[in-house]
Amino acid sequence: MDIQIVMQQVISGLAIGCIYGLIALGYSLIFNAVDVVNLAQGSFVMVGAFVYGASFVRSYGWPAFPAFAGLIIVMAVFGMVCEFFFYRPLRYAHVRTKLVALLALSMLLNNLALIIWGPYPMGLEGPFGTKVLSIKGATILYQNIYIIAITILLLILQFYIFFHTTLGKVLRAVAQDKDTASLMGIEANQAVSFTFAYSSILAGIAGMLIAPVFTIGTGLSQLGFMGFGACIIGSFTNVSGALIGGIILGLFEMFSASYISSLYKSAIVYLLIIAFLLMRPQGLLGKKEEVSGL
Amino acid sequence: MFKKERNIALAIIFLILIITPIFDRAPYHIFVLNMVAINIILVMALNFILGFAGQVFLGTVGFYAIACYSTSLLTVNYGLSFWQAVPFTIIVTSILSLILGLPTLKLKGFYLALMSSGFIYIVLDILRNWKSFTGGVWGIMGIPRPFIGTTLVRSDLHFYFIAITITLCLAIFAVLIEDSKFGRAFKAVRDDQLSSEMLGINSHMTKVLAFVMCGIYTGFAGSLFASLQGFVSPEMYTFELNATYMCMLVVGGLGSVPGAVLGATVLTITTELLRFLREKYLTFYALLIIIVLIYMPGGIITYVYQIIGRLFSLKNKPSQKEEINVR
Repeated sequence: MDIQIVMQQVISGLAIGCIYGLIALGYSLIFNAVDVVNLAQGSFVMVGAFVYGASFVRSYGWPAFPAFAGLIIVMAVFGMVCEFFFYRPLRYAHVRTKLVALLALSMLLNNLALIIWGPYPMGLEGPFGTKVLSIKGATILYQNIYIIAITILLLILQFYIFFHTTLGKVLRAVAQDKDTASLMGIEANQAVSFTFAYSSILAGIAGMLIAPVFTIGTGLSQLGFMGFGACIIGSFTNVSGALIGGIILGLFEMFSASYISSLYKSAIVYLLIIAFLLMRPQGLLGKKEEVSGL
Repeated sequence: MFKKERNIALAIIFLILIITPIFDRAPYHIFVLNMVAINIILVMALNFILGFAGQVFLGTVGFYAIACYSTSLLTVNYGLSFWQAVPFTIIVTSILSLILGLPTLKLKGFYLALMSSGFIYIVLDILRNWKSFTGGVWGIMGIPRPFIGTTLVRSDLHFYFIAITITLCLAIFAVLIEDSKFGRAFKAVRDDQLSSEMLGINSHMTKVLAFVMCGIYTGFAGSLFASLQGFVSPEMYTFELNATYMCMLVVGGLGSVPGAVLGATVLTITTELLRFLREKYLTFYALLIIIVLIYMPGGIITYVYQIIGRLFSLKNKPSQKEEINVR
């Protein structure tokens, strides 16, 4: 067990964990706002990767920064459209109806992506290509450092928005109590719409960052379950819990693939998630609460 | 409520399904009818947990795969006959549902959704990679057809009569359960867990019971499918297939046995008609689920009930019409 190899694995585990954390943040934002788990979050990640990688960079040949700006605008609009057509008509329905509808939305997006972008996975070169950084014999992809840096920046930005702006106050008020918030003159529907847009942006950025590591394909929507798992491990109600859960999951995945079995990689990761679900369903950072049915 | 309409609807649908082969014996159509029978059982299984008990369960395909594989392994590797393998398969799936259901059904609903979808990936990983036991991606071949007396059921047509008989029995059993105290308990827990607990219903065990029923029904479907197809391979079981069953149930009518039967029948045939679209038919299914959920949450069975009510001039109080609205 070389220290260099372990270091490489820690960095790539951290990078993939940051991606899971970003997806998990999207889950926990929507969950706190409307009490529903957005089962289509994984498909949002996939749409982000396709829009950025397949359309903007590969087809239109835009450079990284305009493509990034375009991605944010597209994902914001996309999140609002999804909310308007698939969530809003059902907002008074039972949670289980919403879950089924969001699952259907995820299926719809996956199949639309197949129709629009075709079934063949595409490769994408990141802004740093395959350049590596060598520290004492350990080779680290610049892309991984880039992923970690962007995640930290996004977290700082989110902290600023949520705790130092009026918009953040509105979002937190709606998350706490929608009815009281609307009595205070807050447009709860708009706030929910904005939450969907924001978490869709997070998913889009996660898709953009992960595209060079994996290939762009509908398989990316499976990442949604990893984000969900990150929420379970961390906490559904706690923002830092989502990120910590993601990082734990990323590191665990990386190390179990190298030291236990790479064939059963995803089975082992899902077993960890299910074990957490059974042993500590409120997550590492969550408070113990009376949990009951739907 | 709607008991008369429900029974008449079930009788009509099964009558049509049973007499269809008399007029149409094209081998492909008979195969589709067999699939209809199997899908009906699967959708009724999903109806127990999602329709009656109201828990979002996404793992039907995982259970189905395990049921198919256990029948295949028992018959091919251990030399059991089909009829001996069926009870063991059902024991396997019901114990599995007990193990998965006991801890997760205590928690909020979406935990079951996640657990069950993770479960599918675990099952598929094991089926693909445990080559010495499951045959890897090649699957298992040579699963025998059932014997009736001493004759082997070779033709799909005769197999269809076995399958539709089992389906009919299971449908009648589902209706009996719906009318029993267990059925009422399922629906009480679905509609309001807190109030049902105040009435002395053990909500956790009720949900587990619904889940075990789901496992038992899936066991039947898996056994039949393995024997019908003659081989199993992990490629058949996809997440999309799962969504198809969800769509059949939602379109037919959540929480209604004839709804499940009708949804499975109509959409299995539609899937065959839409074969020329390849995988794109799933787009259509996904849109269908959302449209049905928004505009007719009771599914198409509500309209069937209305038509039957008018044809047979059954009287229902207006207030009873609310009941099948599962929102």
